[in-house]
Amino acid sequence: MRKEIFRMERVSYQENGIMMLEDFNLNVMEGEIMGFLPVNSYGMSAFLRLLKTNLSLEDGHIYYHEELINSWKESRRNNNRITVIQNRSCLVEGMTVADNIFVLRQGFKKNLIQPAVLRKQLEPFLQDIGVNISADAYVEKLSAFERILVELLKGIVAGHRLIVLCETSTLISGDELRKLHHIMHHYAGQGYAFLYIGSHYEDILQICDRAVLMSNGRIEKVLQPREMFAENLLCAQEYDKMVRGYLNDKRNNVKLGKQACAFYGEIPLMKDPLRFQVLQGECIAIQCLNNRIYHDMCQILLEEEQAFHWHLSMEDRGEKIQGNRKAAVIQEQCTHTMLFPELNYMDNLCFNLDKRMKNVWLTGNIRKSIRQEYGKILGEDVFATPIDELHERQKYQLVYSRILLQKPKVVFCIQPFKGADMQHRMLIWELLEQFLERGIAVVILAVNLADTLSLADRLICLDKGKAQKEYSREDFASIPVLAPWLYLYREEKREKE
Amino acid sequence: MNKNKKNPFKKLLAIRGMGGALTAFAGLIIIYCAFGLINNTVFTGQNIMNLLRSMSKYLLIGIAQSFVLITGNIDLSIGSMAGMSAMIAATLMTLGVNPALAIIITLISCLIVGVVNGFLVGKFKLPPFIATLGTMFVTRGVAYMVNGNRNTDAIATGVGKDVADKFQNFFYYGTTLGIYNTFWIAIATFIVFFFLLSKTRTGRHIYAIGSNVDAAKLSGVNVVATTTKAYLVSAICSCIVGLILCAQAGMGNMEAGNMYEMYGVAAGVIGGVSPLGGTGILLGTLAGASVWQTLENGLNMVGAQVGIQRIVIGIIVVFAVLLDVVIRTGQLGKKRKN
Repeated sequence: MRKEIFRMERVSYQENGIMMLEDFNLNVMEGEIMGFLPVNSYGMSAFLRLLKTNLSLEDGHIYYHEELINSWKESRRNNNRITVIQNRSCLVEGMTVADNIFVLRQGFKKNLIQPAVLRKQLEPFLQDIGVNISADAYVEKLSAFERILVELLKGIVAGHRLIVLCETSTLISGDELRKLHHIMHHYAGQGYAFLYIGSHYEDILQICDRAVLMSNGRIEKVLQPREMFAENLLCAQEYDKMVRGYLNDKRNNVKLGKQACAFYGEIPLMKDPLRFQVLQGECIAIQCLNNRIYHDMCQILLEEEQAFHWHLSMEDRGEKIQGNRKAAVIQEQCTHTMLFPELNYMDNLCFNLDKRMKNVWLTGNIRKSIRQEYGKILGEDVFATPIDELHERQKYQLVYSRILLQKPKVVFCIQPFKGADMQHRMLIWELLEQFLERGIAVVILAVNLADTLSLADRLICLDKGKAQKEYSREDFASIPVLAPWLYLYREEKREKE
Repeated sequence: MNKNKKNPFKKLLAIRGMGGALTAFAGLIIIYCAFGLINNTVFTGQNIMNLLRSMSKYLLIGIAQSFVLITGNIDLSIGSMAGMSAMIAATLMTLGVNPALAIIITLISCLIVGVVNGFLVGKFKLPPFIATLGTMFVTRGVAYMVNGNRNTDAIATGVGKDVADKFQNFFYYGTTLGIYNTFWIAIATFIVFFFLLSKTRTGRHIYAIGSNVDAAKLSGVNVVATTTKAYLVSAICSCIVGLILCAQAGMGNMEAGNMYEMYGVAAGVIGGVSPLGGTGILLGTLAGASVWQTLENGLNMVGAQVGIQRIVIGIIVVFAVLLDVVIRTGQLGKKRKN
C-alpha cells in the first residue's frame, strides 16, 4: 500500500481574526501528482504559508510522512521539509546553482567549499532528468524554466518528499511545461509527491492523478482519477459557456475596423524581423517560445529598448509606446504593478485622462461626472476605499477602466491572466472583450497561451532561430500543442467535417 | 446616500496627506499654548512677527525637500545650494552688479544644479542620496570659491547703501501690512507650489512616481522630466533661502545654509510627508515648519540649552517618522506591503 506523504485533517486556520481556511481536508500519497485548482484566491496564500511553516491552527491536524507535525493543540512554528516553487524565486541571487542546491541547505557542514566537488555532485542529478544547466551559473542569469528546475533539484537533494508547484504554467512556455511534466512524472515514479497548483484546469486534468477544488478557503470537491473531466467542474462550465457564446457571436458577426497599428522589430534571436498589423477590434496573441525573445519584447513595451531596431506606426506615422495616449500597456499582474497605492481611487482612475482632458486636475466637474458615470459600473463604495483595501476584482476593474477612459487605439497586455484565479480569469476575459467591443485593438504577449486563444483572432508564435509563425482563427485547430480552449476549435473543425 | 457627505471631517481626512498635516497643526497649537503658558512673551505681537519671519526659511526649505521626498528621492544639496546662492548674490553685488541681475544669475546657477540633480537621479539612475551628496559638496565648494575662499564684504560696498537697503528690506527687514516681507515671499512661494502639486498634471505625476514608478512609466509619465521638475522646485526654493540669508546678514557667508537640508527633511516629515514617497501635502510642510520654529522659539524663551533644543527636535522627528510607518503598515515592525 502506498504511503501517505501529506495530510491536512479538518484544518481551520485564522489570520488577524479572519478565517482563512475552514474544515480543510487534503491528502497526498507517495508518488502522486495531486492537482489543486483554486476557484478563487481566498485562503490561497494562507494555505501556502501553512505548507511552509507550522503556524497555530484553530482546529485540525497536519501530518507529513505519517507523522504529526502541527495540530490545534501545539504548533512548533518550525519550517516544514516541503519545497514550494512559486513565481518569486527562493534562490539566493549572486550565488551559483551548485551553491544554492548544496551549500544553502540544512545539514551542510563543510567549511571548505570545493566548486569542483559540487559540480561532480550535481552532475548525476542533471543527467537523471536530462537537462543541461551549468553548476557555476549564477541563479539570476537562469531562465524561468531553469530556475524552476534548480528549485526542484534543491528540494530533491534536501530530501523533501513533497514538492509544491504553484502557477508554473504561467511562467514557462508550452514546450518547457511538457518537459517539466515529464520530470515530475519521473520523480513521482521514485516516490516523490507533487502538489500542482494552477488555475488552468486543462493542465491539471491532463497531468494529475487526482485534483481538489478550493473555493473560499474550503475544499469543495476532490476529483478521483475516474472523474478527471472538465464536465465535473462547475466553474469551468460557466467559463466555457461564456467563451462559446463569444466565439459563436464572433463567427457570425465579424466587426473588425481599419488598421490600428503596425509593428516591425528586429528581435535579435529571430531569423527574420517580426512584423504584424492589428485592426481595430482585433485581438492578436503573440506567444514567445523562447524566454530571451519574451524578455526582448517586454523591453520594447516597458523600456522602449533601443539596442535593436523596432518601429511602431499608427496611421502611417511612427509612434512611441511610452507616453503615447494612443497606445497603452498593461503589465503582468497588473493589480500589483499598475496601481498607485498612495493616490486615491479617482486619481488612479483618471490618471491617463490628462491628455484628453487638460483640466481634469484643475476642475472638479470632470472628475465628478466621471465618478457619476463609473460609479454605476464600479460601485459607489470603491471611491472612498483606499487602494490597498480594494478587493482583487475591484483592482482589476480599476486598471482596465483607467485604460478604457484613456481610449487608446491599441492595448498591449503582458500575460494578462498570469496569477489570476478562475473567477478573476473570467473577469479579465470580460474586460478584454470590452476593449475589443469598443474597437480597441488588443495585443497579448504571453509565454504560455493560457486563456488567450479564447479571445484571439490570430496567434503569432516566436521562436529562436525561426521566422514568425502565424495562425488565423481558422487554423487554431491545427496548432500542434495542447493549450487551453483549443478543444473548442477542434470541436468546430470536427463539426464542419 | 454617500457616506462622505454625512461626515465632512472624514471627507477632509480622506484627502491625501491631510491626516499628517492636521496632526502637525494640532501639535503646533498644543506646543504654542504650552510655551505661552510657561512664558507670556510667546504670545506678544513682536514674538509672533519674529516667529513668522524665521519660520519662513524653514517653510521654503521644507517645500524644497517635500517636493523631492514625495517623488521618493531626497535632496542633500539644498543647504549648500542656499549657501552658494547667498555667496553668488553677495559677491556679484559687492562687485557692483545690480541686485536684480545678481538675483537672475544666482537663480540660473541654482537651476543648473537642480537640472544636474534631476538628471543624475532620473536619467542616470544614481541613488539620490549619493547623487545629491556629490552636488552638496560641489555647491559648497562653489560657495567657497566664488569669493576666493572668504566671506564677502557688506553688499553695500558694491551697490551702495540705498540699493543694499532696498535689497535687504525686500527680502528680510521690510514689512508689508505689518508682517515681515520674508513671510510674504514664503507664503507666495507656498501658494504657487501648492497649486502646482495639487492642481496640475505635474503634481499628479510627482505623486505617481513616488507611489509606483513603474506604473507611472507605463501610464506615460516622463520620469526623468518629472524628477527634474521636483529638483528644480527644490533649487528655486533653495535660491530664495540663499537670498534671504544674504539679505539678513547683508553679506555672503560661506557657511550659510549649513544643515538646512536636514531641517527641510524634518519640516516635511513632521508635517506628514512620507520619506518613502507618494504621500504628503504642502499644508503639512507648513505645519511642520511652524512646529519646528515654534519649538525652537519656545525653548529659547523658556531658557532651554541648545543641546536640549536639539534633543527635543530630534525626538519629534523620529516620532513623526514612526507615526508614518505605523499609519502605513498598521503596526510597528510589520513589513510594508508590496
